[in-house]
Amino acid sequence: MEKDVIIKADDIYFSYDDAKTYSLNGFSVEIERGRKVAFMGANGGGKSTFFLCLNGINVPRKGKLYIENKEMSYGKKDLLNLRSKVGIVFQDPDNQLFSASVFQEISFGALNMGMSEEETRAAVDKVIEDMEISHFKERPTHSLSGGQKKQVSIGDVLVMNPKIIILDEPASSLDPKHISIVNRIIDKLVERGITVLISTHDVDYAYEWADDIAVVHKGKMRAFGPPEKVFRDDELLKETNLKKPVVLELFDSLIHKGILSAELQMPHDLNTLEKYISSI
Amino acid sequence: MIVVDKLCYQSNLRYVNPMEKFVFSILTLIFCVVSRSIVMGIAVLMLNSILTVKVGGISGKRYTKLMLIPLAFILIGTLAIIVNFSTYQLDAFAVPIGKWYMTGSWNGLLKGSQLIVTALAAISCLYFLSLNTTMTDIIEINRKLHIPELMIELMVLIYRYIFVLLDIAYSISTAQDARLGNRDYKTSMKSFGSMVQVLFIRSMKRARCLYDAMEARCYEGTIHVLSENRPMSKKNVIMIIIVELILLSYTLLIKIYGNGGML
Repeated sequence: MEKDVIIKADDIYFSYDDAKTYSLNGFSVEIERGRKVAFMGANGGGKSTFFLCLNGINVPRKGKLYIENKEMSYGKKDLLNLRSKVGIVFQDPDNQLFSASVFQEISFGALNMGMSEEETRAAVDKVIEDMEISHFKERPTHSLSGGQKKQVSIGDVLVMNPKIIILDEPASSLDPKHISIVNRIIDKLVERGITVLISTHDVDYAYEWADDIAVVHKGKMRAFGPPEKVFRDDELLKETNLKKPVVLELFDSLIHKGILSAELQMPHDLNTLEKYISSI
Repeated sequence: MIVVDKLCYQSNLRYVNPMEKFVFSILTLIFCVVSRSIVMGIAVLMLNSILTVKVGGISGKRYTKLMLIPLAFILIGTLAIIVNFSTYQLDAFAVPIGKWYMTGSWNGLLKGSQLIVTALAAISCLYFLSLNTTMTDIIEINRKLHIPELMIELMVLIYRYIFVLLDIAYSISTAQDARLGNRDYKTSMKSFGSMVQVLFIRSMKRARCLYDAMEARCYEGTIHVLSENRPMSKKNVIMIIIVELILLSYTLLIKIYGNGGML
C-alpha cells in the first residue's frame, strides 16, 4: 500500500544569520498522515527551526518542503493556506497569547482565516467546550496559570482546524496536573485524525506515546522510526545524549537477570511490563 | 495582577454593558468640570462612591486608599491657589513669618475647595469606569468610537505586555535581592540599570517571538478578534438619562443664574 505522506522535507538547509552556520543542515524526513511523532534531541539541534519552516515562518535557503504532496511556496495566499493546515503551539505561551481575554485570543486565528463572525463564535465556543476551559474564558490571559495558558495556546490553534498540529515542548514548565491535562488534549487530537508533532525531552513519554521518534542532531535527521527501534540503538542514544526509557531499562535488566525471557516482545509501556512480571 | 485590573474583574458591575458605563462616566465628568460646582462635585463624588463600593462591591477601604493617591497631588497643586506669601494680610487667615505673612483670602479658599472637589469628582468618574470595566471592554468601546485601529492594537499589545514585563522585572529584582543587588544606593542604581537593560533586550526578543506566533495564525497586519456581547439594559439607560438630565439642568442653572458657578 502506498504511504500517505503529509509532510516531506527534502534536504533542507536553514540559517538564521550568515549562511555559514546552518541550524538545519541537509534535513530530510517523511511523515505519514495521522501519525504521532516525537521530535527529540539536544536544544539547538534544529527541532524548533524545522517546526517554524513547516509553518512558513522560516524559509529554507535550500531544499524542498512538501505538505500534502504540494511543494511549499511563500506567496501571501499560499502562506494563508499553509498556516490554516499547519498549526503551531509555541513553547512559551507568553510569546503567543496577546489578547485581553481568552475568548478573544482564541478567535484571532479563525477570523484571520476569513471565517465569518458567527462561524468564529461557534468555533470558539466549541473549542472552549472541548478544552474544558469555559470557567476562565472571560479572564484576561495574563491572569492565567502556566497550565491554563498552555491550554489556551492549544485552543488558539485548534480553532483553525488544522490537519497538522505542532507542539513545541508542550510539557515545559508545567506541573504534573497540567502535564496530564495537556497530554489528554494531545490524545484527543490524535483521535480526531490530526497529525501531531511534538518536541520533547521526556523519553518515557515519547516512548509510550509516539508512533515514530525523530532524533534531530546538529541540524540533521539522525534517526527516524518506531520507538522500539530508535531506543534500541545504544550508539545513537549515546551520540545524541538521550536516555533509554525506564520501561526498556527495567525490561533489559529483568532479562539480564534471567527473570524474563529474552524472547518476549518489547513492552510498549509499564502496564505491559507489569503483565510480563505477573505472569511469571 | 495590577490592583485596578484585578478589581474590575471582581466588580459586580463588570458585566454591565461597557458603553452604558462609559457614557455615564464621561458625561458626568464633563458636567462636573463644566459646572465647577462644589455641590455637584460632592453629589457626583458620593454617587460614584456608592456605585463603585455599594453596587460594584469593591471594598470601601480600598476605594478610599485609591482616592487618597490623587488627593495628595491635588492638595499639593491647590496649595498655590489657597496660600499666598505676602507682606500684607488677606481676609481669611494670616500666619506671620518674620516680616511676611502666610495668608489666604476667602475667595482663594473657595476657589481652592472648588478645584479640589471638582478634581476629586472627575477622578471618581474615571475610577468608576476603570474599577468596573475590564480593559477588554474599554478596548471594545474604543473600537465602537472608531479610534484608529493602530492605536487600539497598540493598546492591546501594551496592556498584555505590561504584565509580562512586570513579571520579568519582578523575577530579576528578586534574583538581584537574593545576591545583595540592592544592598545600598549605589548597588541599587546599578542593579536597576542592569534590569532596565535586560528588560529592553527581552522585550525586543518577545516582540519578535510574538510576531512569529501571530504570523503562524495568519496575521496579515490587522488584529481581528471577536467582540463580547453585553446587551444594554433598558433600566440602566433610563437611570443614566435621568441622572445626566439632572446634572445638565443644574449645570445650565449655574451657568445662567448661578453665583459664578461657585456652588
